[in-house]
Amino acid sequence: MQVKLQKSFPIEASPGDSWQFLQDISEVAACVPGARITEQVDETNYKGQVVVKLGPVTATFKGDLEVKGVDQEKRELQLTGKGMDSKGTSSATMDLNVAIQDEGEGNTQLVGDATVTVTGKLASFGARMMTQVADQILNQFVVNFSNRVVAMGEGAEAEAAAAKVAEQPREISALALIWQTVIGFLKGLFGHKPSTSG
Amino acid sequence: MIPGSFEYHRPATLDDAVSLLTEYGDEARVLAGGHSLLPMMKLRFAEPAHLVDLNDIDTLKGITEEQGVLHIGAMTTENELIASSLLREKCPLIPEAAELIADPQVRNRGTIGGDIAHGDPSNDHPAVMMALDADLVLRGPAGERVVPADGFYLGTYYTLLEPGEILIGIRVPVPPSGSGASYQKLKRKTGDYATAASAVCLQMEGDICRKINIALTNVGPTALKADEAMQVLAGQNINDSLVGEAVRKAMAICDPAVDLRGDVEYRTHMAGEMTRRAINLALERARGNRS
Amino acid sequence: MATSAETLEREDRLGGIGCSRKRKEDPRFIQGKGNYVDDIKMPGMVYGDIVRSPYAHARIKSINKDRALALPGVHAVITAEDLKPLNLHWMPTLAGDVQAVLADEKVAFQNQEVAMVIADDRYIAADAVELVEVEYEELPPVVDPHASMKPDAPVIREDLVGKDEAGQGKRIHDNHIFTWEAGEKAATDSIFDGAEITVKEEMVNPRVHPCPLETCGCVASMDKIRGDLTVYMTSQAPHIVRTVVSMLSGVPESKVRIISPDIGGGFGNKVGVYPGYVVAIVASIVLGRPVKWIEDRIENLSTTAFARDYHMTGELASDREGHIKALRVNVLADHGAFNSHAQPTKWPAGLFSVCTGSYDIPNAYVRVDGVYTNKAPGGVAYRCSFRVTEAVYVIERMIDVLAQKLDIDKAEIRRRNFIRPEQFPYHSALGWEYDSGDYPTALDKVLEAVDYEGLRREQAEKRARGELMGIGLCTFTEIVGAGPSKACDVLGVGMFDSCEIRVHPTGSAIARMGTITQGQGHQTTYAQIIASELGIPSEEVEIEEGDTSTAPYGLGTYGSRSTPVGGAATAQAARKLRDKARRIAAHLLEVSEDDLDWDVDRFKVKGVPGQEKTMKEIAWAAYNDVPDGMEMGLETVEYYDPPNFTFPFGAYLCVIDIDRYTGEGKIRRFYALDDCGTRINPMIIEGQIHGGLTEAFAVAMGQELVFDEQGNLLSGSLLDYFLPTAWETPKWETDYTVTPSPHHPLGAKGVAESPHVGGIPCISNAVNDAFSHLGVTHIGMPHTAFNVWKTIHSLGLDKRDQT
Repeated sequence: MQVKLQKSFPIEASPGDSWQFLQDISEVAACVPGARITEQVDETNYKGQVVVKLGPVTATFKGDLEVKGVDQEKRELQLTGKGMDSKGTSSATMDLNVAIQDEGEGNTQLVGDATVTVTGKLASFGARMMTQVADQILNQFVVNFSNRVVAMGEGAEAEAAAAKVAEQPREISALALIWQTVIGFLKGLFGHKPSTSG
Repeated sequence: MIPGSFEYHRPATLDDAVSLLTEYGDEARVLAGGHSLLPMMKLRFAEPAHLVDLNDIDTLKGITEEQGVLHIGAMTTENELIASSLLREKCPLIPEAAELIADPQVRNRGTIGGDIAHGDPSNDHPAVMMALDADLVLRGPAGERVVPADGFYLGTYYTLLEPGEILIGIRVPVPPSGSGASYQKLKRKTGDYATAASAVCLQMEGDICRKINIALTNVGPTALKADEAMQVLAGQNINDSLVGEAVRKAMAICDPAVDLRGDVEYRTHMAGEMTRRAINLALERARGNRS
Repeated sequence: MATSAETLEREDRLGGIGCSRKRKEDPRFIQGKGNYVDDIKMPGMVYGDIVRSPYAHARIKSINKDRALALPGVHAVITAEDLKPLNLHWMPTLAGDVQAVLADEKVAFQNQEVAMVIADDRYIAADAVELVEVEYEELPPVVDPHASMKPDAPVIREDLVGKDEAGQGKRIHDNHIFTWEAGEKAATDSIFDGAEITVKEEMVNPRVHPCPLETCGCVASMDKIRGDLTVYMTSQAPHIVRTVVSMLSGVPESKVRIISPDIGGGFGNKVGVYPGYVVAIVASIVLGRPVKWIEDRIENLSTTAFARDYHMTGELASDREGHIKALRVNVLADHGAFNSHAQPTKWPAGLFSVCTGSYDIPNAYVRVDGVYTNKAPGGVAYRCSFRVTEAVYVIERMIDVLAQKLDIDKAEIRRRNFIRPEQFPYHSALGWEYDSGDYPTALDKVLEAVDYEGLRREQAEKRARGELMGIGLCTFTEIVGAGPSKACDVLGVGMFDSCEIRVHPTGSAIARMGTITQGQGHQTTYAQIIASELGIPSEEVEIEEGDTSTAPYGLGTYGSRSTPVGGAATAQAARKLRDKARRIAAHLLEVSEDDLDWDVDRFKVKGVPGQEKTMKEIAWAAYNDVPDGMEMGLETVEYYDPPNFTFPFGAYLCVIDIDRYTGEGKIRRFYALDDCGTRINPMIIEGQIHGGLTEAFAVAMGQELVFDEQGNLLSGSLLDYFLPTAWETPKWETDYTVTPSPHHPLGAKGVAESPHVGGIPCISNAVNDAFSHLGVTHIGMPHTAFNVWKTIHSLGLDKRDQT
């Protein structure tokens, strides 16, 4: 099955800082809840893993991440991640296009366009929750992203953001409290509804 | 369909259950009826290292009424809800909804607490409890707290339950006279989750609808309270046109997952249709025209 | 001569043909005493579990067994590499193709078998499956048969590249399997060119699965000391499996024993030989221990034996009065990744050319193209003869489409085109000889029973109010009883069947058959045939099937062939014994054989009351006092090769009410009249019809193996795959006429599949009829609420008055 997600979120940091941060793949990966880069193979290829946790459901995906393209002009990054779950029964591929848009007056917009393709048991029996998983991961990703970029700066705001980064849970499982924070952060933002085919 | 290995605990008291959950933390899951958790374990989507079975804790079972509030133990099975003459008399919406859950085998084991605490948007009791203004009693290492069902759900499989906390009971205020309620559920077959379902609970005062709650099942990341739809009808002399307006408002909050039950358009329309039917039947019941 | 009360009483005591004897099988099933494959436990038995592909199409780059083998309790991890030295990594299919036993370098459908783990228990095996590390390189999957035939489509079967045939004639594309034609193309085309009226409709028989309650499985046990291989298996055809196993393994057929114990439903799912069986057998031979392999429900639905997936274009040419002049059908048949449809006819589309149906259609042409896709292999006959459900669906849908175009009543158009009773035996344009039938009588009986005119009036009133009510008709002809060996064989073995009867000295008997019951009640009905033919009470006749070491060779039970072929063999065997009994009776009574009359359970000397010998007495004599030169004993075997198929038929009517806001359809009435010739046990026939109609209801209203574009099966469990319960199932009303088959010894035809074959188009016609006044000509199956609602919504029928 395939889930397509299109989202755009305001980032409370300058376009320049945001773009700089976006090019650090290990840092960006760390914004994905439960994800980390385990090895840099070469300039554009990485190995990593993601632990997805949703209620009682847990899945560990290990795989490769490739930077397909970097457009400095447009501040746009293309990534493809491919992974197989540790049991060999499901696999997932994510084609991600992320861009930093300068909205003027120091306002920044993070624009993401993701296509997640899932095969195997998770696609056959987990379809009911796939959109939710993808949506929740992406939502948490932007919160983390925003916090980390802001934390790069200086001042009280940055310190607050840094504190939040420190609190960031290792997995998407999260504590309810943090979850509420995420929800609160996202309320009023204009994320598009995900579309699903499959 | 063989689950991974796990350790099985069967505490006899609530305190033991809470301390087991505290001890094993994220590694442990509570086992009630098991009809949501065990299939996930058989698919190996869920692999808890410890299962804490609540079936031996007698204090979690039973239905009583105290001062206008129905107390339902979390481990009360669906079939016990259906068979309860107290519920039939005081709050027939609960047995009506329970009868529409899954199939007879599942209803023999499945519990109201499991259905509510699992956090699955396709479960039926969450919307029903929202419609009934029910409170949920949670018990954890720090003691007991009571939270409203409306607000308990944060996302798919995410609830207000803290680690180590167990849902132990449900408190439902007995609807006053002049009330009417209905749960309308469209499903493909017996045993299936809702394509869409709607719980409606209202109070009439003469021709005027004093209060109305509407909540939807399986058309969003959680059960959804249809606030704007409720506002359309509250305080009104309800007619078809107002119902149509409320239905449109209810449909507007739907964001269903796409699966073989239908696409977004169908499931949204069905949420509307079930809401329309539930409102109309609840009205008739409140007016005493239908049982 | 009037039958005396005494004779009637003796007949009654026999419990023979025509009596609704209670099923002999039921006491053990009802009390949980059935013995299914998974009930079998043997000392030292180990368990197999299969590593399956998550991808529908991928290359296997490597398989690492180390972690799995390191798990305590794991005995072996078997892959294609291990099977190669034995030349067992591929196996022949019944359709002339080959199928990978374990994936050899690439996988071509989701859940394809990649490796089998053998472990001490089922739990360790399941744990070890997760530890087998398979590295895949994903390839683009093809799930749609139309896409599969595009010039640039990915090649699914690289092993066939460069080969211009795959066992069933010329291929025209790498993903093409065969083209098969029947009838006269040029003549048919010219009729269409000059026809007053033509209609054309595209329709799909969706991919479905028979989904028996018991999944497939086996226990393979190689006794290394005796050199015997015994396999307990859920097989609808144990004898042919023994032949195949012997051919594949090199173990002499005399050393192979296949036992089909109690079987929890087959419906075509248990005809084929699946990779799991082969690997379990290999594992047992290698380990010298019994190996059990049992599918779970997901494995059953996703890998062993789908049915249908026929993408059909039907066309009819007629005159303005609706007299059909020609039929043309083109089919794209999706056979999945390997052409392993288990069907024994000599034609790649089985008996599909019975698609002229119950109608006298002078010209017809059919073309079927089989293609590969990245879906599970199969194409079995799900409660039907081979491709007959598809055939009946296309003609029964098309005749409704024609009626609609001409505005002729749907019952009337059938009457105008029926093969008339006096035309039998009837030769169809596509080459069949229909044995017997009386279609108008059957239809009229149904129309009268349901007050057809009244229903149409009610429908008109409802339509005026905007309500949706459909009336579906189906007047089908089935073709069953495979089959004459001139038309059907399995790997060269003709499609006869067999019965061996042994009458014991005290007059009771045992009979063994080459068929195998899976719920049909053979232990009950065969005994009734023997009772009537041989005068031994059915209660004293034991029926045994399924053990290849004791039963005579037979081709098994599927395609409604047990009564037409096995039942005929039984009658013939009993008659052979009765002939011998007559000679013994003549000897005992010291008269000529010609002076004896057979009377229910005894021979009587003509005109001499009291001079008689009962079967009981004759049986005793068979073991101590036979005529000079006669062998002792009362035992025989019959191998029956039928001269023709039989052609059961029926007239069905379905009334459905459709909720125009939800799309839900409720079958208010279903009236099924079946004619299966002579009726052996009416109660069992009723039960079979109820079961077949329920499966027809399942297919028409909900069943479908749904795939997404990646080739993931989305309906691989009973949450999403519709298996109706008593809750959903409508009430069935049954009726019958009796038109015996002229060539069957008992006049019987076979019945269990008619309700499935006829029921599906009947329900589908009802749903379509509900919309026919709105210009809708065809809505595809399954008629789920969601699918029906899409039509409703597109027509705007769900709009409410804005007040």
